This record gives sequence, structure tokens and C-alpha cells, in this order.
Amino acid sequence: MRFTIGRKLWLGYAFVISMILLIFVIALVFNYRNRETINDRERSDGFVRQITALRTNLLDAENSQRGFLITGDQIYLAPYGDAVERLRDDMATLNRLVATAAPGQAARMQTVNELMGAKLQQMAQLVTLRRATGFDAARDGLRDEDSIPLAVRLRGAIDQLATGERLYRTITDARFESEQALWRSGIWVTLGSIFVLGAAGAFFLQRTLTRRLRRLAQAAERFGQGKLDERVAVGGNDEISDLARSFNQMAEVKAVQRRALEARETQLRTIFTNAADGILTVDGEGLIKDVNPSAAIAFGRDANLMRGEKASRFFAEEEERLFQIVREQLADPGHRPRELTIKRPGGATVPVEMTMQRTLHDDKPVVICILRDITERKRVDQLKNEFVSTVSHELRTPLTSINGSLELVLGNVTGEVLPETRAMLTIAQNNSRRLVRLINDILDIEKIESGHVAFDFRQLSVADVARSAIDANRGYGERFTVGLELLGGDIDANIYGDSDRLQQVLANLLSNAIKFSPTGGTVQLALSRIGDAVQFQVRDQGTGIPPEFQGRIFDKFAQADASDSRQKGGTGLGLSIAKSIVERHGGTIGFTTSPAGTVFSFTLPELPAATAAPVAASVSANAGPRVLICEDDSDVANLLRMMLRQGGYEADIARTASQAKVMLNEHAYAAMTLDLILPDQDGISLIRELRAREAGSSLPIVVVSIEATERAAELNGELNGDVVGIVDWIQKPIDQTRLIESIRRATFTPDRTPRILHVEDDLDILRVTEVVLRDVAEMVSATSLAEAKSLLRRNRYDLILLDITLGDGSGLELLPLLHGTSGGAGGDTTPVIIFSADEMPRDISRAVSAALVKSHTSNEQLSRTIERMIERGGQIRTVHQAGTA
Amino acid sequence: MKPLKRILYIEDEIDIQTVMRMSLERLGGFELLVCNNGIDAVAKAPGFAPDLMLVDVMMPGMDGPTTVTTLRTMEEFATTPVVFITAKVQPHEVARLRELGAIDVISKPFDAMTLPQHLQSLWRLHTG
Repeated sequence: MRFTIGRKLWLGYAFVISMILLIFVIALVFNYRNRETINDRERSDGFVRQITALRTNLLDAENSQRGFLITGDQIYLAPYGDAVERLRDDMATLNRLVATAAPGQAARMQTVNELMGAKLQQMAQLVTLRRATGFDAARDGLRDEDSIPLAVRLRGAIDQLATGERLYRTITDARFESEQALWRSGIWVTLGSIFVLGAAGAFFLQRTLTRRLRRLAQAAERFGQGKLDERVAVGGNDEISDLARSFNQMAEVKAVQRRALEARETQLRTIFTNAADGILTVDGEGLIKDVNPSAAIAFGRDANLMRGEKASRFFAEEEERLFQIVREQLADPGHRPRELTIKRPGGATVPVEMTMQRTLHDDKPVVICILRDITERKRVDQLKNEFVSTVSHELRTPLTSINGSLELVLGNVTGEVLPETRAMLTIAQNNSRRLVRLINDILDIEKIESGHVAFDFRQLSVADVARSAIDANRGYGERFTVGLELLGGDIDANIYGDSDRLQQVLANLLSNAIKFSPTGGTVQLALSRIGDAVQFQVRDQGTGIPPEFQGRIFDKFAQADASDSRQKGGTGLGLSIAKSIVERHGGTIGFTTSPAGTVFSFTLPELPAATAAPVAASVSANAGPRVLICEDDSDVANLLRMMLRQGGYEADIARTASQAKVMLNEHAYAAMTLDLILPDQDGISLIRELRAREAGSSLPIVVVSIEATERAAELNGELNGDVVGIVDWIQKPIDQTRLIESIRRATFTPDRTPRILHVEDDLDILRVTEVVLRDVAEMVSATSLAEAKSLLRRNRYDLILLDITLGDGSGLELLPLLHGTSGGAGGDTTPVIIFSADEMPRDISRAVSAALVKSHTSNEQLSRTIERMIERGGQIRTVHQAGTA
Repeated sequence: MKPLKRILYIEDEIDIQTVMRMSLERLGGFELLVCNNGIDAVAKAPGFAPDLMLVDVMMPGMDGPTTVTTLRTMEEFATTPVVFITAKVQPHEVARLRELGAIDVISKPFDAMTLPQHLQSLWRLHTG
């Protein structure tokens, strides 16, 4: 049986309880004995008292008998009779008592009984004798007694009885005393043994529990300090043994884990130390925590001196730019590396490519930066570019001559060509063209794959793309007597893509399909929507793709049959290029084939309907002004749209800066809300870019960003000071009232038709401008400075469109009339747009609302700028009135 | 509007010069001054007063852009529109040429049969 601590404790409890019970029993017995003794004493006292009473009554009886015997007087007989009566009572009592009296008393009592009986008989005989015979007989009777008188013997017997009792008392008292002493010592012994055993138990506990527990605790502490081999001697068979065993098991497991961890850490450390890439850990404050040797080499510094320094110190980029790059990279789900420039001591710079990853170290955020010196790659890139460029040049130059000559000859520029000669020259021309295509394709694929080619992404209608492709390839089909057919051309879907590149893909697929179709066959281009994507399918009626070729059909220079390819005039690069282009569009390409025909299909993500707003919506009469929401978080974007709708505005959503640019190009927006943190571009740089473009140059912008306040402070009004400022900076979470108020200010349009004064001496321009603007404003024209001055003195205008070079002076002379009090009907400033053939000096452009250069300005841009100006003019007045009211 | 008539053509490849003459003189009916390189152009071109300059980019000694920059210093060529013709068609190269103020960059090999029409439409766009 296991002798557990629980059982040990129970045993201890049982011992203590039984000891207490023992003491209780002893006390009980002691108490009982005590009471017994007291009773015995009382009985003994009663007995002795009875004996005394007996003696007294005996004396009374003798005295009164003797009195009668001597005197014969009857008077003594009454007390004598009483005394005898009492004696009999006493004897009865004594006889009763003697039953419980001390041993030996009964025999003595018997003697007393016998003697008392004799005595009473003798006394009664003598009384009778006296009465009958008189005194002398009685006296003789007294003399006739034995040598020792009966009375004496009786008294002796009684005394013996009393003495016996007393002796008994003495003995019992003594015995009681000794018994009491025994009980007392018994209690002491018990208490003493409890104490001793308790102490022993405590010692035992200390020994078996406390000490073992302490040992366990010490072992645990040492283990915690890293002594992984620490184990505890198990010993015993109780809970502590269990605990010790568990501890040992845990220690074993932990030790294994710890060793694995240590091994991994060693591994990581080894990687960190030996990695060819530089690794840098940077804490939340931008301070370097650790640098590996490769990084130290890349930075050209001592790793120890870099630790604790600000990481930004070692990069050539401005701190703000650096933070932006870090933010962008961290937010990039694809973790594409970013290019940065390292600053070495002495001023040398090294281009690096850096990937960053946020992680936790000791519960604090750190960023692990992995950087790679790309000097060599850049150099190789440069070399490759030069090589490609040179090869392309060297190949194209002779081809230019060959091609040009052939074209001119075949074009009959040098005279009529004989049919046979023409046939030969056509072969030469076809092959030179093929060579050109090959070079173009090689360059193309190199550009697309290296990511060097910038795709011109725009919102495109799927149906339009397909129709253009069909039209472009119809001629080619006719050469092979193959018809082209468009299926699903009524699809109402938009994609975001590069039109030319998609045409290239479709031309590749369609021309392939045409080439491999039987004469008189039909190639189908089918459009369909699959989930969030749009699918293009090109279906031919050819003989299918041979199985051995299917696996590498998208490879470069993949040709089912080399001779076949040449025969069909392909370069073997078309599908490879198509695949690259589709993938750059975020789509996929594939094929299915059977002896009855082949279907090449590619899918492109569909542009959500919300972002693909029809242009007409912005000019439709009933809809509210249209606002573009540029926000990548769809929840926030939808919230903004909801808020704006409540405020009476229509809103479209652009999720990226590039999408916003496309939408701004294609629709007229009254204003734009802008998030500063966008996946593809920083908001501020987008604003700067929009300013430089005609579509965005006059667009009121409301910044809605979590960084609004700080970025606004950072820029210190820099962007607000431009021709068209940012209307407001709104911090997230968004205050709807403020948002609507800002948009309202930005899009305010006066109720009446604005009046524009156009000062211009060229009548043609006046006419054109009037046509452009007559829908939005009432146009008043002045052809000379004098006329303009006179008009300005009499009337006020919402906007002045001003040419500078006028027949009778410079239009700039009008500016003082418009600013301040002298000319204007009101005290406020009338907006002015300089519309001149010359670029404005910068100081003058600042004084006016906008400066447009004639040759660079389209009618639409002019019209848009003016519309904005009018609205802003209204807005300025509104604010002004509100301020003075 | 003045029609495109006189073209200054600078090109080092004799074969291409021949093709170009055939295309522009025979086919397009333009008046062509052909120069073999930049130095030749600086020497021969003054006084020709071209409507348009058609310049090859890669030439030994003085390349196309440098030739144009040099010619631009002369009043006669200061505002003459330039069309570059090049076999280097990588986008960054084309962009660089556009930055130099070229109204168009024609890539080699060009279509000799349609080149005259192309130059005419460029001219119309530029002057119109």
C-alpha cells in the first residue's frame, strides 16, 4: 500500500484524536473513582455516627435501668424503654449499613449483635427481677455476671466496630490518594506522549515533506536557470514522489525542446552571421538592434558601431521618404522588395533591394530588413539593356535597308516588276518581315518579363476590346479563308487593362487559331463572365495540339513542328508573350484541345461596377454632383459613399491611385476624397501629380486619412497654397458633418449663370471660347484694354479670362483693378485666368487663379478650369459672407 | 498652312539613305538634303532652311541628339521640328528622345511605302 502524505496526515489525526479520547477516558474514570470514594466516605461517616449513637443510647439504657434497679422507682422505666427502642433502631440501621461496610465489619457486627442481644436480655431480666423480688435480687443479678462484664465486652465490640471502620477509612483514603496520583501521572504521561509523538511527527514531516519540497523547488530553480540536466531523486511513494517524477518528465521534455530551440537559434544565428544578404533588425524607434556581417560589409561600417544608431542615418534617402518606403513595403501583401540606397562612409552610395518584415522581439515590434547589394545586378541590367539595344540596332539597320528596298521595288516605285521577279522578291520580303517580327517579339518578351515596360492601364469595355480584335484580324482571316465570329459581344463588363497589349494577346491567339483552322472554317471569340472575372475564349476548328507539345506550349520558341511554324510565319514567341501580358494583368491563360479543335482562354479580373461609372452619369441633369472616393479600404470607401449619398452626392470609388487617375481622365468629378495611404502611390505625390495633369489641375480635394492631421502639419500648407488647394484635411474616424460641409464648399455652384469677361484681341479665339463656354456661363468680350477697363468699371464679373498681349497694352494692367477696391463692384477679388500664348513668369502666375498657355490647352481643359473657377469664386464669396454676417 | 516640302535628312547608312531617297523623293515628292553624319550636316545644312529634320539617332562621331542640339544653336534650325529615326525602340530610349523635343520617333525598320504619308500627317498635326 502507498504510504501517501494524505494517509500519513490521517494517521497523525487518528493518533491525536485517540490520545485525546484516552485522556478523556482517564478523566472520566478518575472522576468516577473520586465520586465512589466520596460516597464510601459518607457511608463510612454515617456508619461511625451510627456507632456513636449506639453507644450513647446504650449508656442511656444502662443509666435509666440502673436508676430503676437502685430506686425501684417506676419513673426510670419510661426513659429505659425509650433508650431500648432507640438501641433496637440503631442496631437495625447498623445491620443495614454493615452490608455495605468494609470487609470484616460484618463479623464484628455479628459479635455486637450477639452481645447486644445478651445485654438487652440481661437488662430486661434484671428489671423484671427488681420488680418481682426487689433490689437485692437485682443487685445479685448484677453480680452474677461473668468475670468480664457483658457491658464491657459489648462496648469493646462496638469500639472494635468503630475502630475497624476508622482503620478501613485510613486504608481506603491512602489507597485513593495513591490511585489519584496514578491517574494524574497517567494524564501527564499521555500528554507527554502526545507532545513527543507530535514533535516526532513534525520532524518526520519536515524530513519527508518540507525537505523534499525544498529540494524540488531548488531543482526547479536551477532548471529555470538553464541547467537542463537537473533532475530530482524520486524516493518514496507519495505525492511528492509523483511531483518529482512529473518534474523530471517535464524537465526531460523541456530539455529536448530547449535543445531543439537552441539548435534552431544556433541555426538562425548561423544564417544571420553567414547569410550573403545583409540582415538588419530595427526597433520601433527606428534604431538598429542588430546587424549581420554581410550588412556591415554592405554599409562599409563596423557592426558594433551601427547598433543603437538611427537606421535612417545609413541611407541616402530622406527620412520621410524612407519611412514612406518602409510603410509601403510593410503594407504590401506581395512583399515586393523596395530599392533603397545605402550611404557608405566617405559618401559612396550602394543600391540595395530591401524586404522588410514586421515581427515581435521580447514583445516589442521590430522590423527585420533583408537587403541585397544590387550594384552588380544594376550593372548587369545596364549591360543587358545596352546589349539588347545594340543587337536590336545592329539587326534592324540592315533590315531597314532590305525591307525598305523590297517594299519600294514591290510598290513599283522603281518601275514595273516582272511576275517571277515579284514572286522571288515577295519571298524575300516575307522573310525579312518575319525577321523583324522575331526581333520585335524577342525585345517585347524581354521587356515584359523584366518589368521594364510600363503598361498603360485604363478602364476598358470588354466588348470593345473584343470587337477591335475581331476587326483587326479579319483581314488576316480572309487570307486563310477563315471567318471570325464574336460570341457574347453584348457583355456589359469592364476590365482594367492596357488596350494595345490586350490587342496583342488577342491578335496572337486569333492569328494562331486562323493559321491552324481548315480553309473555310470559323474562329470564334467568346466572351463570358466567370465569378469576378471576364473570360475570353478563342476557339478554332483545327486538328488539336499534339500531346507531346501541350506541356511546353507557352515556352519560348515552342513550336509543334519547326517547319510548321516557319510555314505559318510564326516566331514561336507569341503565346509566351500572351502569357506574360495576361499575367501582368492579374489574369490567367490556358487551353483545352481535342482533335476537333482547340480553345485558348484567358481570364482577367472584372472591374467592379461601382468603380466603372458611366461618363454620362456625371452630366445627367438629375443626379447630384459626382465625387470620386479614392480609398483602398472597401469598408471605409463604402462608408464614405454612404455619407456622401446622404449629403446628396453621387460617388464612385477608386481603390488605387492609378485607378483614380484613369477615372479622373474619363469622368468629370466635382471633387475627390483622398486617402493618403494607397497601395500603389502616396496620396501627397498623387496630389502633386494631379496638379501637373490637366484633368486634375483644378479638382478640389478633401483628404480623408488617419494621417490627415500630421501630414497637413508636415506640409505646412504647402499644397493649400497652390492654385487649387486641398479643401480640407479630415482625420479618420470620419466626421460626416465636416465631410459633407467640405464637399459642399468644394462643389458650390452659384444659382445664377456666372458672367465671364473675356479680354482678347483675337476674334477667332473669342469665338471659340464663346462656343466652348456658352453652356456654363454668360460670355462678355472685350477686344482691347480700354474696353475691358471701361466694362470693369461698370460691371462686376465672376471670372476674367485674360490675354496679356493686347493691341493697346498688357492685360496684366487690369490685375490691380480686380484686386482690392478701385474697380470691382465689391471689395473681394475676382478670379482671373490668364489665357495667353506665352508661359507666365512664376510670380505672375501666383497672382492669378490659373495660367493657361494657349498652344498647350485643350478646349476641354479650358472649360473645366473655368467651371472650377466659377464654383470656387462662389465658394469664396460664401465663406466671406458667412464671415461678415 | 504651309505644306511640308523641305526635309533635312541625316543618316550614316548609305543603303538606308538610298531607300529613304526613293521613298521620300520619288514617292513623297519632298525636297531632301541628305547628310552622312552630324558634322556633314553642320557643314552642309545651313541655307537649306528645312521644314523638318529627319535624324538618325545612332551615328558615329556625333549622334543624332547631339547633332540636333548643335543645329539648334543656329537660328535657322532653332525651331525646326525634329523627327528621330532609330533602331533602338526601348521605351526609355524613346522617352529620352521625346524629351529632346522630337515631335515623333520612327522606329527602324520603317515602312518605306507609307513613310511620306506619315510625315505629312505629322506635319499637319504639328502646324495645325
